[in-house]
Amino acid sequence: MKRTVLVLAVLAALTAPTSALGHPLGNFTINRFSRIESADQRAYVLYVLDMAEIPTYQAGRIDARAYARRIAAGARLRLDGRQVRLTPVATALAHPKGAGGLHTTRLEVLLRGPRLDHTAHLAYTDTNYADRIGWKEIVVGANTHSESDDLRAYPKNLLQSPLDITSVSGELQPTGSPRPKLTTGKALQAPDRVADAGFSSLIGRHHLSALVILASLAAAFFWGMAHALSPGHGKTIVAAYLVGRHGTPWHAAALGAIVTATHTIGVFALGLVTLALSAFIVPEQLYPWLNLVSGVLVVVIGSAAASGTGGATRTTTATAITTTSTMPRAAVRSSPSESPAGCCPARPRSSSCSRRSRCTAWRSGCC
Amino acid sequence: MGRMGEALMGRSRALLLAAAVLGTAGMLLFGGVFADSSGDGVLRSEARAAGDAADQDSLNGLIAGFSSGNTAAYVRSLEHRVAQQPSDAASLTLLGLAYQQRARETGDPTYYRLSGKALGRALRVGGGTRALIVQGLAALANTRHRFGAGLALARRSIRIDRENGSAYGALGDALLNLGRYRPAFAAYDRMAVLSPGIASYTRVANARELLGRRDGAVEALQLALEADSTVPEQVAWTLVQLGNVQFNRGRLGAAERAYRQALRRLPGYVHAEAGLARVEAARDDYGPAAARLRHVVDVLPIPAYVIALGDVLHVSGRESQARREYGLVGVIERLFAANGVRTELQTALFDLDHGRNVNDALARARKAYVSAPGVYAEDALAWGLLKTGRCGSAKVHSADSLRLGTRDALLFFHRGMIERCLGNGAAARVWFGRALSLNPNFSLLWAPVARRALE
Repeated sequence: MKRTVLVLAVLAALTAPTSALGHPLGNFTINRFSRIESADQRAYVLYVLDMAEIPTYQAGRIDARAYARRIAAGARLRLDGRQVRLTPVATALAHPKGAGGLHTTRLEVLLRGPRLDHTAHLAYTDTNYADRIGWKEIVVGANTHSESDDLRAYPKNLLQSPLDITSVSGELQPTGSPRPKLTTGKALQAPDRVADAGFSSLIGRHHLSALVILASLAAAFFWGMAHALSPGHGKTIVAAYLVGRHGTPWHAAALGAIVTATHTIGVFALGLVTLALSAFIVPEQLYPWLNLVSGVLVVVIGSAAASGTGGATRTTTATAITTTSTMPRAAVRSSPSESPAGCCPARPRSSSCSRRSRCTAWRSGCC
Repeated sequence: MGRMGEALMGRSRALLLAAAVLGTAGMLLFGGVFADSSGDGVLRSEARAAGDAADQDSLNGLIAGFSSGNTAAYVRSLEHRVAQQPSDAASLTLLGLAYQQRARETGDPTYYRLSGKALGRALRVGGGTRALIVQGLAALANTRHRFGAGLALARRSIRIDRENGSAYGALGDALLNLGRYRPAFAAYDRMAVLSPGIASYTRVANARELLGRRDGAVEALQLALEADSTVPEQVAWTLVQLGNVQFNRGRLGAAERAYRQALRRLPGYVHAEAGLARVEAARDDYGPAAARLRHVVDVLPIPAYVIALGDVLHVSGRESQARREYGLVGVIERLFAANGVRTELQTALFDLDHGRNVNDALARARKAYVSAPGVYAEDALAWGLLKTGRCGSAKVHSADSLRLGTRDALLFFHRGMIERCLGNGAAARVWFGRALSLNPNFSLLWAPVARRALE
């Protein structure tokens, strides 16, 4: 029984392989919003239509007035049980940019209803585009919050189906507030429809001017520096190394460049590996193993560093710590043949000390 | 410094190494890399038993929710439940599966995204039936045409629960699209044994059609219908499949009956309307066919239906309108590209049929074939090679695409055109004849070409 139930429960993938039900991911919605409010002692309906790329293409040239008339006919408002007439009095039309270099449509229509002299019971049904998918929202009241901000920004972070409200009922009180205004200018372009947030819309553009690129690079540079200042980028180790080796600013710059290059290459390599394997292995399965590999790498490199170049590094560090004031720069620049007090050879410029004998010679108490 | 310093240094080094080894060991043991988060042995089976009982009730609720015909309300109630209790894995799982059903019913791809989110959250929250969650994710991956990931997930689901029939379904679907037909058919067989019902029989029917066994396919579909599913969309989809099989054999009357039955079961079902329009066009009823397809395209503008509308308008002489619809195909291609989808076959075939961006279309067909080497992708590749003048390689791929014995008139027609290109006029006519005798209405654009060649 459980098996049958399981089978019936999971109904996906009945798609036959031959029917390529590939769809243009969300680009064929017609989203509708109505705000019923009272103003100027009358009932008003502010209607917003947001058409995605495909319906916009299919519509061709849009005659705002004709659309407004059709919308007015499809928006059915009943006050106190009586069907009232809605007349379009203002329209605003814009074609914000959409995906793939195509345009979407934002049409706002102000529909004027009858005079209100008492609180009326309202029943509103929107029958426009009844068979089309999309966000359908109706709110009552001039200041009532709209989940989609009047179809400007659809919430994307919730586990919630697109709103599907096609009829509401409520009360409408007459007020003397001024007539609602339609959006004008830039705000009508409603940029948030395509991108999730302002940031991703910055990188979602098609044409990047040189200025934008330069500004982006500068910002990236700044944020990279800020990022490096955060914990965990080996600043302590690098500083200790530079102090121990008496590094010059050039050393620091070279070290910085090397770390940048290796860090970036490492990130890209990781990304490419994960991408290549993600077609066959689920990323969730991959991450623990990647963590393990990187952890083991760190341990191995650390052990190698600890044991391998051991002696001279530690001696040099010890020497640096105990004798900084007496170890003049001259000692670094002098050639190995010159030796103060004719005892120990001056510390060579090269940092690697692969032969134990030289290191031992230093440690045997000459200097 | 001296000897003491040396000894100290040596000891420090040893300590350092010991710390590193202990740290690694600790990380491995407690870091969960090797541990299966669902617990081991006895604990796991206990947890599963407890989960089973709870899941049984909710699964029954899922079926009831779908059967009511108002999946939207059911989804809303699940969303409400999840909003109240964000860590309720069972509800999250059901919500994820219910979203997939909504996507199938409405065609709105937002629901696939929501399904992925719900199932992902269910996985993170823990508890619940992992096999079901992972299998839901496998099905989702398949729907998004990520067949490699779908394969891995289906396998994982089967490892968790070997008796899970639906996981074999997802496995078979992934294998089928990856061109591994024998293992795919084996998976479907296993599914039919483990969970006989509408879902497994429709898959078996599809497999039989690929093997060219049309009577067997019809038989399997009729068995699927007899399984008496209570979910309207499932029944309607099966009837549409039946209609398609009958249409592909040239049985217009039987096809029409199946499509109308689907519309009675689920009024307004877009796929049934499209099938009916195809029948009307085959009977030269272009006016009604165009009107019906226009409504279909308004509701669900997938490439296949937009192309069908364009073709109907074209053959009925409404050229400017046809051009507009063909333009819409171009718009859809741009949207696919903007969304990173570069392996869609229908649009590639369209471009090749109409001689638009032929080299790019060939590249897309090749990419589709490389990523999912099924017979239809291979046929598209062969068609692309023909259109770019490489008839020799086209013939190789065309022959390979017929290796399963699929009786598809369009595949035969492509082969005939390739033979004609290679100068084998007689062989070409044989293939054209085969195509037309199989289904005289296999293509509004190309059937007339085949007929002319046979005169």
